[in-house]
Amino acid sequence: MGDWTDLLAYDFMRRALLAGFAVSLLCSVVSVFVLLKRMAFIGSGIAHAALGGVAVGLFAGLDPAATALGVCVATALGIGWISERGRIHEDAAIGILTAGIMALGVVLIGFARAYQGDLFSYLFGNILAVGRADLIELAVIAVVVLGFLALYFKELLFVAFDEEVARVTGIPARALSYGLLVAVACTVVAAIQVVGLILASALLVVPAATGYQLARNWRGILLVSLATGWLAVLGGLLLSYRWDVASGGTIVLLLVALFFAAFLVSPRRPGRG
Amino acid sequence: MSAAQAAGGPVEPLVALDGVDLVLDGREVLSGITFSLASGHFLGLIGPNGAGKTSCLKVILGLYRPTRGRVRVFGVPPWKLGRKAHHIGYIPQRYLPERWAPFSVFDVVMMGRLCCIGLGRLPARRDRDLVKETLVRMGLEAEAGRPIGALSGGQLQRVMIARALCRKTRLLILDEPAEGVDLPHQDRLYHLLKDLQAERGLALITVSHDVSMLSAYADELACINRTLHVHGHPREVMESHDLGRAYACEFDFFSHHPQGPVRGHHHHAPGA
Repeated sequence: MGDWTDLLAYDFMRRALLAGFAVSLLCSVVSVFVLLKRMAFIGSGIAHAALGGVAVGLFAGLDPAATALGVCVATALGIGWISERGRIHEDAAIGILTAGIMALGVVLIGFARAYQGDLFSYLFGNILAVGRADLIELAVIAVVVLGFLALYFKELLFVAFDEEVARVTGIPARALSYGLLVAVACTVVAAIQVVGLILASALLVVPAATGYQLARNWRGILLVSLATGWLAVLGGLLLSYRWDVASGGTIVLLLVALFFAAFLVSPRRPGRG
Repeated sequence: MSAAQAAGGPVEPLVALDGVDLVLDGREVLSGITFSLASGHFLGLIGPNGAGKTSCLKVILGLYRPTRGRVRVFGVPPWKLGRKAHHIGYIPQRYLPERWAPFSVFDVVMMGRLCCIGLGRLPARRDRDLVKETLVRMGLEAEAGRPIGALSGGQLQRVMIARALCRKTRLLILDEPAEGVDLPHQDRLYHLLKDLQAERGLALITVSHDVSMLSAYADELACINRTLHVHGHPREVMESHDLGRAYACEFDFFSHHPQGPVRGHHHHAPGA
C-alpha cells in the first residue's frame, strides 16, 4: 500500500488523477446519451475529425487542443445539419465528412515534421503529462458541458426518446439536439487528453453500454456508467504507471474487460432474468 | 373567452385550415385543403394510403409549413403557439419505441409534463400526482414501474395517450391508432376516446384507414386524397359519391352508427 500512497506525493500523478476523475465523469454522463441516441458512430467520427483540428494547430503554431475543439464543434454542427437534410444516407454522409477532415489532418501533419512528439500524445493520449493549464482547460469544459446536461437533463432524455413529440409539446428539441452534439464534441476533446483520439470514442461508448447490461432504467445505467468509467480510468492510470505501459491503451482494455464482465453476468442474456 | 364570444358572437374554431397546399420533395402532397374543427368535436380523417392524411396532421402540428394557404390552431399558426402548445397531445403512427428504451411507464408519462414543469426545474409533487392520476384513469397504475419494453401494443398505446393527457390538453391528435392493435383493443380504444371527449370536452382528430370503425365514433369525417373530397357527418360522407372517387376503387361498407347502421356500395369507374 505504501507504494500507492507514495504516488500521491508526485504533482504529475495528482494532476493525472484529477484529470482522469473529471474526464471520466464527463464521458460517463455523455455516454448515456450516446447510447440512447445511437450516436456511437458520430462520436467516433468526431474523434477522427479531431486529427484535422490538431494538425491545423501544429501546422499554424496555435494551441492544438484549442484548434481541435474548434474543428470538432464545427464537425458536430455539420453532422447535425446533415442529419436534418436526410437526403443522402446519414451514416454515409457523416463518414464522408469526418474522413475528409481526418485526411486533411494527415496531409497537414506531413508539413509539421518538427512536432512529431506532440502528435504521438494526441494520437494515443498522455494523461501522465497533463500540466496545470491542461487541467484548467479540462475543468472548464467539464463544468460547461455538465452544467448544460444537468440543466436540461430531463428534456434531453425526452428528446432522445421521442424528438418529434417533444417538439410538438413545445420543448426546443432542435436546439437541444444541436446542444448535445456540441457537448459530445467537447467531451471527445477532453477524452483525447486521456486516451488519445484513436481510442477516444471508447470512453463515450463503453461505460453506458456496460450500464445497459446491468440496469433496466436510465438511472441505473447512469450509475453503472459512472462507476465503470472511474474504475477503468483511475485503475488503468495506476496500473499503467506501475507496469510502465501505455496509459490510454490500459484504460480502454480495462474498460472493455469491465464490459465483458458485465455482459457475462447480465440479466439481459437470453435464458436468464 | 374572447370579447366576441362573451357578446354571444361566433366561437373561433380550434383548428382551421384555409386553402392549404403542401409540397414535399417536389411532390404536391396536399392541395386546397380547407376545413375547421370546433372545440370538443371528434374529427376522423380518412383516405387511401399515401393520401396526405399524416402530412395534414403534421401541418396542424406545425411540423410542416404549408406552401400556400393558412393554418390556425387556437387562433395562431401552430409554429407560433409557444406555451399554448401544451394544449395539444400527439400520438404518432405505429408507436413502437425501441423495445430496449430504459424508461419506466411512469418516466414516459412524466415526459408529457416536462413542457409545463419548465427548463431547469425538477418535477414537483403536483406533477407526480397528476401523472399518477392519469395512469389510474388509463388503467395503468399497476404498470407504472415496469419498463415500457415489457408492455403489449395496446398498453403502450394507452401510455402514449396518458403522456398526451397529463396536462390541460384540449386537442388530441392520433395518427392511425388502430394500426398494430387487435380488434377488441381497437374497440376499447375508440370507446376510451369517446369517454375522454365527454369527460374533458376534448377535441380529437384521428387518422385511420379503417373507415367503418372511425365512422361509428367520429362526429364528422373528412376524406382526403391530396384534396379534400368530402367532409361532413359520417352518414353523409359514407353515402357520398365522392367517397368512391377519393378511394379510386369500388368498395362495400357496413358501419354501425348510433343513429342506425349504414350499408352501401361505392362504385367507381376509372376515369370517372
